[in-house]
Amino acid sequence: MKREMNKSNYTKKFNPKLGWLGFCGLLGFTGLWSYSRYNMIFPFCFFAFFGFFAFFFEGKMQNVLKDEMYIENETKSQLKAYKVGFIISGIMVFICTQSYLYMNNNDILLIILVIAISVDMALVIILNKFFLYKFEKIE
Amino acid sequence: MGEFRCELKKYRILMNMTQEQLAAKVGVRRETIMRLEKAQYNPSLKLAIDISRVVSVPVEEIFIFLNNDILS
Repeated sequence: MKREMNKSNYTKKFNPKLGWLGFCGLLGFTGLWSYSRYNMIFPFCFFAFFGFFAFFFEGKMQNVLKDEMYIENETKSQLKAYKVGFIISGIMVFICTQSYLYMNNNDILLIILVIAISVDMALVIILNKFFLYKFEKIE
Repeated sequence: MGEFRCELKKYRILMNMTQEQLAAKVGVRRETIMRLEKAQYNPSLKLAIDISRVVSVPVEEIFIFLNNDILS
């Protein structure tokens, strides 16, 4: 009855200090410079790098057996994080489309949308691991 | 999902097993057994049956569902 405990049944091992890469998200502010100088909006996407902060939470759950309770908690946390992400992105799209009626500057709207979606992505990644950590550690 | 009472701790102690030993036998973590004993986690059918085989007690005597409307 003892189930095989392969290495693949365990969560991966990595250095939680990778979480400090989250500060790369600050590179998103280079978009202000690139837009004013070269009309380039792309650097605003770097705000998504804030998602690396999720490694701090994921690092606390290294080498854990992925049993049925872990898989259930993982699914629950993903669902909760995606729900928050969809609501935020829906609100931002709504605000931007409504603002389009009153603003003549499409560039500003595009920048706001890019920032919002990038930050939203980072938030979803962080919340996913945060909720998983919270569900796993409830006493 | 119905609320239930879990008598696993009683039967586990009768078998002279720690949570860790029971968890290893059924292929889950000690934390899973701990949550089961506190009735904070609803196990899958397979896990419930595996546990009942290890402790040699029927499933319905380990996991006792409260407000069992189907019988009323």
